Amino acid sequence: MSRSRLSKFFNGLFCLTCKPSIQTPCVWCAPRYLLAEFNIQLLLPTIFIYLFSLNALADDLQLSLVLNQGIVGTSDNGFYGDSDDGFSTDFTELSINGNYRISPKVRIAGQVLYLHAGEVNDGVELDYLFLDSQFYSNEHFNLGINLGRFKNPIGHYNETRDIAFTRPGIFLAQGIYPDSLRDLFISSDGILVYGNLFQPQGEWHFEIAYGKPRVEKFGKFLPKNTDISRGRATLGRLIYEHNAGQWKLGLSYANQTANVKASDLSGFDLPVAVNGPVNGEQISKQIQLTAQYNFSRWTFTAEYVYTDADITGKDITIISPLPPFAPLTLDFSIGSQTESFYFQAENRIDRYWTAIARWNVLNPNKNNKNTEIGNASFGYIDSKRTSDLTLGIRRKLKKNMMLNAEYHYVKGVAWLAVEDNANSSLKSPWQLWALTFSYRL
Amino acid sequence: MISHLYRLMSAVRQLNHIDKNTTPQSSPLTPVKSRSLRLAAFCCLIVLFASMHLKANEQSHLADETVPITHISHDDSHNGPMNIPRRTIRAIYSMRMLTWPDGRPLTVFVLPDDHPEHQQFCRNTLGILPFQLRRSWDRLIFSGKGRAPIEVRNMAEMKKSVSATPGAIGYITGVQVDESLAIIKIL
Repeated sequence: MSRSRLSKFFNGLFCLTCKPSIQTPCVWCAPRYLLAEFNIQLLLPTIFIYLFSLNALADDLQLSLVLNQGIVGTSDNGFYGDSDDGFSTDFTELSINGNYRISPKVRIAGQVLYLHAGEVNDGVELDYLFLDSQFYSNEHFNLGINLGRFKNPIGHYNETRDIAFTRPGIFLAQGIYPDSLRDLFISSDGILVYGNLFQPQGEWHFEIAYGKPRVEKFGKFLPKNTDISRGRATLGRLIYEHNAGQWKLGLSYANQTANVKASDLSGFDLPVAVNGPVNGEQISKQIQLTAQYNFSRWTFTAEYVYTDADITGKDITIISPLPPFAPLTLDFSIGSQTESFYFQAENRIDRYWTAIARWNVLNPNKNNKNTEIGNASFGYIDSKRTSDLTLGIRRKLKKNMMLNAEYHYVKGVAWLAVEDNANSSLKSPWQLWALTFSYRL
Repeated sequence: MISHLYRLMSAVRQLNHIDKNTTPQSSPLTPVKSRSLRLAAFCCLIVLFASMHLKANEQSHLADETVPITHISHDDSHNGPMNIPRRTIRAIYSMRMLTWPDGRPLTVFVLPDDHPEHQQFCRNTLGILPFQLRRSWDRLIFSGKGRAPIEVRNMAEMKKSVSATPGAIGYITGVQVDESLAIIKIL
């Protein structure tokens, strides 16, 4: 991590009054400022030595830290930064995760993330923080509730997508877990109810959640002068794991909305003049199917997702293009349907080496409707089919350290991030390679 | 592994035999076919040797499968042996249960992933592969939905930790169990 990036990281830690003019820090920010400015390398180790010494003292507190640093190169197009010009090192993930048992049945769990993913993400965020109460439990069945910010239970990887050790390779299948749209899926604030049923042959796990989705970064897909506010998220997932996870089937459903208010639509090339503000709603519904089979050496995983994204507007006043040019009120709806699937095979060659192969297809505009407007409707940079063949290898160095290398051959550009490709024309087919080092404590 | 190798080698030997001692007319395999078969067998052998070479480290760490494993739990109230159904043991070690069915806090102790007794415990008691267990723990830990089991370095530490922690569960080899420990019988 470069010094400037670390400074940016610490910038997130200063209070609001100090942030704009950190040259004159307040009493509370001064020590952090001094550390950040003069001895940046000492601060993190100090915090962790402190926290982990606490950890050693208390069984009820569990902490972990995961660091992942990568380099990414592409033949064309930008992915995780300016990768086609040599390579990009703008790929850092640092997570600190804690979990405290307050009473036998009540826990509190939280995670703070520092993510740097090219121009898409660069900053510290509170990934989740919730109270978990397993209020009913017997030997066959238990029921619990999570209150706070929780990870959206979607598919096999969504909840742990930012942790290198839970991913099979370096990047997840970008058609289903696009890093360019990460914020739309990641977590919600609200309530989640879960249950586990333990049967002799297998286990059932379900989760139902209701809350507000995080929409801080929805705005980048909308025209300027658009306000966006949080709508609602309804989520559900059912998983069956047979014989302690030998095979596994899952079904997830997510329905997320955001409220959109546009005061100026001049950026849109509309056939009619729009008078006054536009109130709308963005609705995204997705269904995801998951299957996995584990052998001693092999793991096969497949997932399929179908997404229906709509932007609707209500009571919009337009000026009629025909005489007598009177104002008219109408409703509109723009929709696009997306589907994606992948097949993935992992081979544990021995206790150090793992190889992975994956075939992923994304069809961002399945029904080919509204291609012109639908192009930007769900944040994809392009509406053409994109396929990705991935080959990767993992070397475990120690129990808590690993190296990964990965190669992608990609036809299409749909899941590339708008931010990383602002000033260049996109080329297809293209190739991607990446190397990462990961460490956990 | 050895038996596979033996079978393959005898297959190759048989092919050689066919080549030498039979005329092309009477042979069930034409020379071209037998050559390609031999080539395939040769490739298989190379792959086998390669994987054996890679597996050599792993093999040396595998335990003698005959060491019996005793499942233990903390027992300061001297309730004596416990009976627990296998599905509950699986639920406990998959870290999906926070408490014992009677409401006491549950603390799970395990040996390191590559410890022979841990591997044996995973396969024989839970019927699961160690990597699967590690993956499901990681999914729970990093999504905040569960706690990690506490890892101890060896048997002595396991025995000490389980007997010192109320609500603890673990496993040891042999049956040297003292008063602070209860033996768990899996139904």
